[in-house]
Amino acid sequence: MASRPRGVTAPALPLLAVGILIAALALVPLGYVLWTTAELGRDEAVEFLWRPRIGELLWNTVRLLVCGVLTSVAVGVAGAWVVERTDVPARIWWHGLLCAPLAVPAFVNGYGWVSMTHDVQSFPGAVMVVTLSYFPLVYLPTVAALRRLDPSVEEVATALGKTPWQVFFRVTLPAISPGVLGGALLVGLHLLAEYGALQLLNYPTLTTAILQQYATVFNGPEATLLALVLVVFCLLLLAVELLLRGRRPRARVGAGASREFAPIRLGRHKRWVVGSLVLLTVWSLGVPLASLARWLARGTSAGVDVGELSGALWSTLLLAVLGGALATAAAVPVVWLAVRHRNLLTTAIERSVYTASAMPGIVIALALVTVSIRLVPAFYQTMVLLLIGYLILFLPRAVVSVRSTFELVPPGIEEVARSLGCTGPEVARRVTLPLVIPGMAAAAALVALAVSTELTATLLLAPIGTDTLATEFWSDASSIAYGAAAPYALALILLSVPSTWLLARLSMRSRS
Amino acid sequence: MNAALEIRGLEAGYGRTPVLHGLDLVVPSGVTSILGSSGCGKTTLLRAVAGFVQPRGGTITVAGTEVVGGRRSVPARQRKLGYVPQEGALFPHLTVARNVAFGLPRAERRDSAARVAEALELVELASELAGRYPHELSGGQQQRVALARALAPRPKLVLLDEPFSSLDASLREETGRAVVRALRAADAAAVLVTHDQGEALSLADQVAVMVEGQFLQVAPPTTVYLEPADPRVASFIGHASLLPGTVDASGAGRCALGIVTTQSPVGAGGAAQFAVRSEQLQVRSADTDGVPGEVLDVSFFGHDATIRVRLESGEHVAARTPAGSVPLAGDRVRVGVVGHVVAFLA
Repeated sequence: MASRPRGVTAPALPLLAVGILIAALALVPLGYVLWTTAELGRDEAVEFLWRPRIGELLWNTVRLLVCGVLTSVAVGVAGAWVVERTDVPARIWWHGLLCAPLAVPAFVNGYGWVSMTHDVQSFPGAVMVVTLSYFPLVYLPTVAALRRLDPSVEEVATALGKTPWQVFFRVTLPAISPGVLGGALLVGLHLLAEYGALQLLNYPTLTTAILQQYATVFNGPEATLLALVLVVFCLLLLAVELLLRGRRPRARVGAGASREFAPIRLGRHKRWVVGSLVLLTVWSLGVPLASLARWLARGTSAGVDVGELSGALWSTLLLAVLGGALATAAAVPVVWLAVRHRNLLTTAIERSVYTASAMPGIVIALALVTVSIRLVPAFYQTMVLLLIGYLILFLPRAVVSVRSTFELVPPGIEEVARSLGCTGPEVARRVTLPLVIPGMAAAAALVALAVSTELTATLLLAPIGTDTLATEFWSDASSIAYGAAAPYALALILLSVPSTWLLARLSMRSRS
Repeated sequence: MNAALEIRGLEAGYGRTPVLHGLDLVVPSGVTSILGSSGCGKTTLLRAVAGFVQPRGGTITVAGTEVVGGRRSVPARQRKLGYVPQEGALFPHLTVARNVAFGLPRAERRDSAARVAEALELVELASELAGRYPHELSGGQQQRVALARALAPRPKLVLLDEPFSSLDASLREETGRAVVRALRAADAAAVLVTHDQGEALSLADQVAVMVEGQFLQVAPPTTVYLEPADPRVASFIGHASLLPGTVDASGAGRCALGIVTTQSPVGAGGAAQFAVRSEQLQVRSADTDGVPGEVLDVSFFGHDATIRVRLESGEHVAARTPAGSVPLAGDRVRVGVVGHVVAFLA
């Protein structure tokens, strides 16, 4: 019965026009990359890319990508399994502590480490710092997948005489692999887009090179070519993930796996498991926070420029609120079209919004700079352009959040409302929107928090004189004024706490 | 007075798949149930009447007003029908009172306490529930609120799409009867879609049996049960065993159960199919009269039991027996027929 197609109706024209407009905006970065590639001479491109310097950047990027993703997956999955499946003491606290590194932006983490020891300015150091920052991106979906997985499957394997290791590798891991892969993909995309942390660690990659090019020659073809290479990397990553995911049989996850089950006894292993968790927490949270505390104590003695701090705080809040509202307002028509008027066009609109999630912030920013200078110079160096940048960058998150609540509104409810005499807009106002408000609020909050700690795109797009907490932090930290950067680092961490808390709660609630 | 619902030559489908093939149905008043297995098109029919599916042909007339005809189609919101989908689909963000008042015109919504109380009384719910939210209600209460919401604007026709399928068996019967009482009290006709024949037969004044997008028979419950118009109706509704045989002009038939008398003269006679309802078959001990056979399996229900017997001729039949005399699987028994059976000429 449920598989029967519901009466799919044609969407109202104004709604469709808005959707197409948003999709067109979201496609600007991709269009820019394709267009400039087509515009560049082939010889010129080959000559530029065929240099030892580029080879070194590629090698750096690839080995960081491979090692960073692998270590993040190892740490994230191991942590999730321990928290979710064993009798480790104080599980809920460990869950919180393993999510918490998300609240320390990667560039703040890099600052914490580099201001403590310069030994991290190396390849192993870079891998370690990005792993400590990004392993929660694997940990969270893995915990959620483990919660949804019917434990009786694992119990059956145990009853068939398998050891815990065999059960994990032969039953659990294949079943949760979609979640793990999704997390690994996120880590990969973040690593490709990471600028601040790697710049502080003095580890040059494609992204740091693009910003350096941009800083020295403004907007030359070199930056564009590097951006193109970066986008190719992102697309390759997506393709690899699709390929790996596609070959696995879809594990049917039990719908009613709500019962409790007996956790695996750690027994004599408990000591070193807890010890590892403590070490991980000290490394990922303790070091950056201790370093921050040290600089705060020293920095305040040197005096904090309160005016600058409050100015940055004010513009950050303003941008965050505007960015969150804008992205949420844009997400609603996209989701509405995709869920309630599903056809080829509306699906294409939704998909084109998602293309931005494969675009590093730096490419989006570069695209907007170029396009605005060539087509609408009036927008260049304005808040409008910066907000459009945030919109494109964070719209995928808003769409996912709004969509998840929208799909919970059964179409039957809207049909009942129509049979009781409501017009289309009345159904939206009296039934659908009131039910979607929690999702919209969550979307706005998530985007606002992401905006408030965004660095890379802000560096390129913020009009001169508009300083956010992140850019103020950056101008101090990158000129080794560690003490002056400390208050901004603290503010950035505080701003990241709520969304981290929300994500941690959501992953724990997924057993229902 | 106009019929509450009149459907002529209705055709509908999804994409290129036709689902309904030229249906005709008249609902004068009272409750008409559409009975069919899942996937037969009964929900599509209901949604076409409600206005959520655009038919390809035919006409639909609700209380004298044509809502579908030719290229014209009245939007769902202007059809003035009550619609109760599966699971009730109450608005989760509104209280019971505001759910019930939802379909009233804006002016009446402001001061709707009396109308809400009246509607809740119709469906036999205490008025204290008016302030509750849907998640604070039991399944049966939710279903009644959904009906109250549909009845509040005083429609001439209410459409119910498997409204009781999500309820426990014990609640289902009680809620069903309460719903029918409410419909009668509100003087509204109803179309009840269901796959449960007990529900269809016990609640409706008229039953329309649907198979693959077509009505096999539209008649009162007793007629559908006792005088099925089609072998498929007989096997679906009466769990009748279908046996091949011959019948002569006088109405006497011959089949694996021996000589049987048919319900009505069948005219010329010839090859025929007999439908024997399970309660017409008596399973007796091996030393009495009847056709010999072997018990295949027994399903014991408490108040009675269904016994599947393989006759010596190889045919399988199902018989219903009182709880006191249930044989065991493998027993040799004899099977006799009580009363007239229905014959369909081949």
